[in-house]
Amino acid sequence: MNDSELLARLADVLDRFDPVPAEVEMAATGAGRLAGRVASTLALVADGLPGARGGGRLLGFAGDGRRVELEIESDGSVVELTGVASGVAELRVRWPGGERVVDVDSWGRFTVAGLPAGPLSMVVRAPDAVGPWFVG
Amino acid sequence: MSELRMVAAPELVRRAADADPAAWQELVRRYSSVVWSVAREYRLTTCDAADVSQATWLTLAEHLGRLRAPDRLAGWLATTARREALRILAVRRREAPLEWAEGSSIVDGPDVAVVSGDAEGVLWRCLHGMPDRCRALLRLIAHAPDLTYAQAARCLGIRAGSVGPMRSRCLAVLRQRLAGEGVLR
Repeated sequence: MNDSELLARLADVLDRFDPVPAEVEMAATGAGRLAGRVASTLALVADGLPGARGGGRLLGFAGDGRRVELEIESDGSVVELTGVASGVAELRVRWPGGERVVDVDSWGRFTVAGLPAGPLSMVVRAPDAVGPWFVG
Repeated sequence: MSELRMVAAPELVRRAADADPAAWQELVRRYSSVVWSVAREYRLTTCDAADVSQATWLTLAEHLGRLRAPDRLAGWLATTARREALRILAVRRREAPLEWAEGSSIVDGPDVAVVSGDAEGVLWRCLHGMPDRCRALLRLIAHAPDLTYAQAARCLGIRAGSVGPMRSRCLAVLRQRLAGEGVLR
């Protein structure tokens, strides 16, 4: 048996003893729903581990003058996000099966509880941009 | 559906970005085991590995039109999954420091002791008993044989120059163990 034959057998063995679970494959298929959509322009700019002071993981996203910072609290099945957003007209949080509009107060602060554990993503709408006046 | 099996990855990426569900399904069929393997190699629980996998596929869906090298999709997927797995791993370590300090594994995969005793079962056990880095490398290149050494190195967090020698060494160790079990002559 040469190296590639051995590796091919190894792949068969992995597929037999540690196969991709059906629900994982289904979730991957479901992600195709987003295929071809315009991807976000917010970049992950900060990723802080759960703090020594007992807080949760801290994440920061930014792009085009918009910024969202949040702290994640999770008990393994339900997630709560607390944070602050700036340069944002509307904030939403989405997960593979849905999304929710997040109430942001006049200081930009928000708390959203009861989110499903697993992948989440913040969606922001920036304030409308207006062009300069001109005479027609 | 089956004629898609002959279509090259860049073309599948193009069609999937054009909202062709069959092309996306073929990408998933071809590469889900690579993504899963990477997630599992970081000793994540089934649940965390499932989240890593899903986050990776969601990221791909929204990056289809912006992939710089669609012909190297396996590497992109493995690297993205690795980044996500490392993030989760770092958080979990912080959450359960005692468990990790004692070196216990949180993997809830198949029980090595009870898998079948046929040749495949022996191969699985031998692979399981290999050093972590060897197992990760072999698992990755078994599922993604087309990865370049540079891509494999990125996925494994090692130097590109180390991949070739490590591949030979790990395969030699595996052969030795299989021979010891009487599976390989």
